[in-house]
Formats: sequence, structure tokens, C-alpha cells
Amino acid sequence: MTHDDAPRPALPTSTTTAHDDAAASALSPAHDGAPTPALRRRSPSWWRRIPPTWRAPLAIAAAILAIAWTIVAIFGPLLAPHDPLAQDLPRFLPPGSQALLGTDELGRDVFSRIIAGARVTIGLALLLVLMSMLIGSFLGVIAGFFGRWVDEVIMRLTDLVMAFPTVILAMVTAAALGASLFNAVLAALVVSWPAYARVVRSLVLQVRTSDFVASGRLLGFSPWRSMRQDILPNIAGPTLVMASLDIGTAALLLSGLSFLGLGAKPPTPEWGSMVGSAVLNFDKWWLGLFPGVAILTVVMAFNFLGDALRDQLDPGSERV
Amino acid sequence: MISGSTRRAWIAASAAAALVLTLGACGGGGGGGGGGDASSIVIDTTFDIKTADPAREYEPTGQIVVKALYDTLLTFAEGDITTPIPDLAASYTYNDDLTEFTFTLAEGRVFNDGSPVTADDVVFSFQRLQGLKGNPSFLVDGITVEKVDDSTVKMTTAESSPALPAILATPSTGIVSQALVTANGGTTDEADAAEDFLNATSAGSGPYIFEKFDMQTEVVLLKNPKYNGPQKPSYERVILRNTEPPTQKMNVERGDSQVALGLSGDQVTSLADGVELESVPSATVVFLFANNNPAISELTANPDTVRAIKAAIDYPGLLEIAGEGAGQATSLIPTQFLGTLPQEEAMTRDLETAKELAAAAGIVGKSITLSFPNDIDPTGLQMTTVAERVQAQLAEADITVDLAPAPFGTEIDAYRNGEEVIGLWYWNPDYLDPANYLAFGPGQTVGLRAGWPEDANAAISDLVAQGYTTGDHDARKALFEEWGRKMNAESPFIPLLQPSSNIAYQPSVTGVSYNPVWLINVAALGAK
Repeated sequence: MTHDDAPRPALPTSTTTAHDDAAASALSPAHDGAPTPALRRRSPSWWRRIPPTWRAPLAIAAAILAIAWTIVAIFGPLLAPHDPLAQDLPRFLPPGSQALLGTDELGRDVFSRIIAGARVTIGLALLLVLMSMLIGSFLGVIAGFFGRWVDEVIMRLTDLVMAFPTVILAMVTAAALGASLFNAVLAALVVSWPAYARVVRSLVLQVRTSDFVASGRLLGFSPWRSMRQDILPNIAGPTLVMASLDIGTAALLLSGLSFLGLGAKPPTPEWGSMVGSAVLNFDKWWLGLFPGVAILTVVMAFNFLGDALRDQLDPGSERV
Repeated sequence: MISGSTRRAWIAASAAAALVLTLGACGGGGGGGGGGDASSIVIDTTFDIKTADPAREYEPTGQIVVKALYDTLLTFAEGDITTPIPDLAASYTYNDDLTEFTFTLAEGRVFNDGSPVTADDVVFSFQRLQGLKGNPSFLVDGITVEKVDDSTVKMTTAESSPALPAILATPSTGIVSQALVTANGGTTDEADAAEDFLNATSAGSGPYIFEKFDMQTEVVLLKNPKYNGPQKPSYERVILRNTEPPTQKMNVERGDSQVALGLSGDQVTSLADGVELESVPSATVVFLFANNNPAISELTANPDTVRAIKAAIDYPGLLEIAGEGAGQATSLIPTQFLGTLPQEEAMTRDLETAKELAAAAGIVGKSITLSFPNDIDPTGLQMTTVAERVQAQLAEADITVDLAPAPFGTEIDAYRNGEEVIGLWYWNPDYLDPANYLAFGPGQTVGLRAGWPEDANAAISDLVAQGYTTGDHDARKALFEEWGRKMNAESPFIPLLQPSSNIAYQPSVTGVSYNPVWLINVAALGAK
């Protein structure tokens, strides 16, 4: 199941095939020689159908956390005990029966604000990753496939962006555009597409010289059809892995911009800005701790999930 | 196995290390100006300072600094803000019309370079303050300053000026050395280029001089060895540090600083034992305005919008977020001033009326921008918190505002240029007289920031004119009360609250006293 010995759609593009492939073939003995036959016999059949990478405790914990946060993000308004914007509770109430995670300087329920913030943070992180993956991959494919001056122009552009420290460039962009969540996503997009362009370009360079691509071209495939049919399926796996590893970073970057007052505007419940305003009241520990834990768990969950996905889809690449 | 000689070597080395550490710790304590060092004092405050040039400065932190560097003709005694007392002027007389004031300078007073303070320096300082057209220039508008002889100065005003003695106690009217300032680019017109010089060196006769001036982090003042005025500065070195309020609280509790100026009403409720607290109502008025200029916003230019906002705000609900000691501002004139309105005349909420007015003004369903500085808390009260509460209260009256926070440095220009649609700001009195608040009138300095032109309200304009000229105490009281009532009813300004002023300090510090203009007089601080 490597690029060399498989013609055309070499890497599985759907997860179902990925599971079956991985469970059945080369991957599992190579990766997971440890489980004894006895142990295998004792585990139920559905468990054995789960690929080994997903049976690791970290992957399980990450999956559960990520799914939980996604549910919270989707069904947030139904789960929150209070309106996240309502200022009707006593101020600075410590965590307790009246407010599970306490209240802030305006008497708003911290628990409800964290739940509402999940939608903002996770939603925007996903959007950011998707956008940077699309833009970066598009430019990367173009650069890798056409080479020459197209490649030069695009790669020098990525060099230009990558020469700046990520957070500083995002801050400058967000500050120039003005504080709002939309602008924060734009600013983060500016700094996050080049990584995709780079990786995708190198993947395309590898695939482009393969015999099956050459034969496709000899059969008269247009560059567009060649890219779509021969190249894309072969670079999709690693790109998705990279994107999944990036969700945590994206969430962190967006929260960071909000923390600095360059993202979410008040009174939007956003974890980064909640931590930011908690700094002004840091003897009220619950104001900063809980949104901080929320950021931590989301970032960790998506990072471990990305790791597992990488082991699954792209076993050749190095562990981070 | 450690041999005997090796062990002795170890013991000797350990003892030496312990000695070095102990000495190092002592040295650190003394040099850093930390707790218990009587020769220096550390004051934590949130910086709001743009310059140390008295003719240009107009920010709270700037007032503390300039007050320490420059003497004024008159001043106020600690803890009393009703009667101006002599400083550089030993005495003064005035005519019955309150249009001519004659000041006799105190004998023997010198600048920090040793040269005497003369009538020429006084005339130059006032002409420079007027000619620069900086932020504090309006204080001395229309005053003609003449030298009578080397130690006598006469000030003439076209209209009677009952507030003049109080104005002459403000740090911005500090007397600079003509020789020093002119030698460094100083003039009495807008070509003046002495600001950089004055940001590095003080050219005054005040009790302190500069050691370091950094507008972002730290201002260090040294006792002026040539000072021979009436004050008795006791600390050799005064260190003002730019510190966020939560850090200020920890610092003063741990003794890392001796004085914290920016603690909020919330923070002082949990102040550790052993820290003294001076908590008095501040003269800072937090207010909203809705721009009256249709070019900025058609919506807020509609008087119904302003009335709707006035009726929609739940004033006691705002006090709740200001913590201990805060009070509702009954009019723009703070409650400790002459001519303030009694509490029962303060504005109140009327949600039904607010909704009707909002509907009449056509603002329901539309979003109005509320701009405010988000990195400044002159009295420990975050403007963001006030803005969020105001937004929630207005929403109950179907008025939607969109919050637009920005750093003070960027937002102040939009405010001063009258470009904000709804602004949330605060006013620290420039001098201790209600005439100060006439600046909110139509066509006046602050009035224009709300897009309120000279011809907008003849009745209030008339009261403003009288306010500047009426001398009789009782007549002034009635006049300013009437002005406050009319402003509450018809102006685009909405006075919200007066946060408490809290100064937390180590018990070793004496002489801590709140002043509405210069906050704290560092020369009055002493050590037990």
C-alpha cells in the first residue's frame, strides 16, 4: 500500500476502505506485532474491526473528547443552563450550585459562556483549517504540477510569509484589519496556507514523475484531468492528516488573537477573550481556569486525533 | 567517601556561598527600592501619559508627574479643594469685576538649575501654554499676562473669571524656565519644539526632577536638590511604574510597591491585612454621548435617540459593577463640586418611554456603534465592563449597540475629532471649579466631540456664558444646577457614574491624599 506499487488511486480516499485495508493487510502486523493471538481471540469481533491505531488509549480519549466538544458546539444552546450574554446572576459568584463554573465580572454564567464559546472556537478553527487547506493545496498543486516560473513565484511567496513569525504576522494583520472574529480568521489564514502549499507541492513533485501519471499524460489527459484523477487521490491522505493536526493549532491561534483583543469583540463568548478579561481579575481563579481548560482539551483532542489519523492514513511519515 | 580536607573545603565553600547570597539579597533590597527603604518609594499606576511638557500634558499620569516637576502660582492644601493657597505666588489681589488679578511672586524661589523664578518666566510660561494650542491651552484662553516688575505679574481677562485662582493651581500652568526652554527649541507659538527636551529634562522649580522618563513602563523622579518651596518632599526617589491593577494589588500586598493608585472597588474588598486604604468618591465622571452630527450618524443626531438612551439606562445597575464606594453622577458636575445636582434629581430608568422613543427615532433593529478605550481604567473600573453592561441594558429597550473597543492611544483621536457615533469616556476635572464642566456645552471643547455645535441650544449656551462670568457664590450654585438640569434633559451627554477612588498603601507611607486633578502629590508623601 505505498505509492510505488499501486497504480492510480493508490491511497484510499474514503475511511471505510482505509479501515478494511489497514485491518487486513500490511499495516497491522508491521505496526502492531505485540497483541498475542490469545488476546485477539478474547476481544470481541467489533473491536478487532477497529484499526489498531484507533485502539490506542490516547486515540480513544482524543476521539471521545473531540466528539464531545463537537456535540457541545452543535447543540450548545440546548445544553447551556443560562443565556451566555444574560447579566442576571450575582457578580463573581464562585463555582457552586447557583452557577456550575461561577460567574464573571458582569454576572454572566461562565459555564454557559464556555459552551457557547465552543461553537465559536471549534467552528472557526475548522473553517480556518478548511480554508487554508483549500487555498494552500490549490497553490501547492499548481506549483508542483507546472513547475518552472509558476513554482518559483508561488514558493517565493510562501517563503515570504513563512519568514515572519506566525503569531506576529497574524497580530499585525488582525490589528490592521480591525478587531473582529472574521478578521481574525482572515489574519490566521494569511499565515497558515503556506505550510499546505509547501507540503502539497512536494507530494505533487513525487507523484508527478510516476509512470501512471506519465501514461495518463501520454493517453492525452489534460493537465486538469491529470491533476484530478492521478494526483489528487495520491496527495489527499497526507494533506488531510496535516489538516487534522492543524485544527488544534488553529484553535490556539484564534484564541490567542482574541486574548490579545484582536479577535472576538465583547460581549461574544470566546475562550481566548474570556481568559483575556480574567487576567484583570486573576484572584477570581475560575474566570481564567475553565476557558483555559476548554482550550487545552480541544487543542489536545484534535492533536491526538490528528496523530491517530496520521498513523492510519500516512504510516510512512514520521511521528511528531 | 569524602576525606576530611575535602569536607572542610565543602563547608568553607558553602559558608562562602551563603554569605554571598545573603549580601546579594540585601543589596537587591536596597537598590531595587523595595519594601522598607525610606529613601525611595514605588508607586504603581496604569499609565495614561503622552508627554511631560506642562503646556501639552493633559492625562492623569501626566498630571502626577508634572505636579511633581513644576510649581504653579497657586495650589491647594492636601485634603482641601475649596481654597487656593500660595505657591510660587506669595499673594494675589483682584478687582471687584474679577477681571484683573495681580500676583506677587514669592521671594528667592529657584529653578532646578539654580536660576531664580522671575516674572518673565511666568509670562513666558503662560504665553507658551496659550500659543502652543495644545490640549490644556484652553485653560488660559483669553487671559492677558503682563509683567509689572520682576516679582509682580498681572493677569487680565475680558470677562470676569471666578475660576481663575483654581485654574492657576493646575499642573499644566506650571512655570517653566524661559532660559532653559527657549535654549531647547521653545517658543510661544505652535512652532515650539521643546517637547522632546521636556520629556528628558525638567525645566521647573518643583520638588522633583527627572531621572528617567519612559511613557510605556516607568517614570523615575529624583528629589530636586535646589528646591526651596513650601513643600517637604521626603523620598529621594519616586518610581512610578505602569502596572495592571491585579498586579498592583499583589505588589502592594507583598510590599513590592508602597502605593497602588488603580485598584477597583472590587479589588479593595479583598485587600490583605496590613495594607492601608484611602477610599473616597472620585471626581471622575464616566459618561456616554451620542453624536449630534448627522454627518457622523443620522440615527444619533435624532434627539429622540439620545432621550431613548437616557431613559433606557439602569443607573443603579451600572453602580453594581463599579464596586464599593461608587455613586451615580447626578449631572456632569461631580457630587463634591459646587452646583452639582442633588441625588433625587439624577436621571432614572423608564423602560417603556425608552422603547417608545427608540421606535419613534427609528433605531429599532439597527445597530449603533459604541466606541470606547479598552486598555484604560482610570479608577480601576474597566471601560469594557461598563460598555458591556450598557449594551445589555440598552438591548432591553430594543436599542442595539455594537461594541467597538480600541486601545486608548488610537481611540482618543477619534474622540477628540468628534468621529465616534456613541462614545463611552470619562472626565477628570482639569481644575477644581464647576466652570470646568462648561466645556461640555454646545460648541465647547467636549461638546464638539459629540458633534454639538455652538448654535445647537441657545438656552444652554446662555447658561455657559453666564457660568464663565458670574462671580457670586450662591448665584453660581443656582446657575450650575440649572445648567446640569438642562444638560441632563437636552444635551447629547449622559452622565453615568463616579467610580470610587482607591489608594492602597503600605502603613509605612504617610501623607496619602486623593486630589481630583493630580490624583496624588508625591511631594506630600512621607515615611514613618
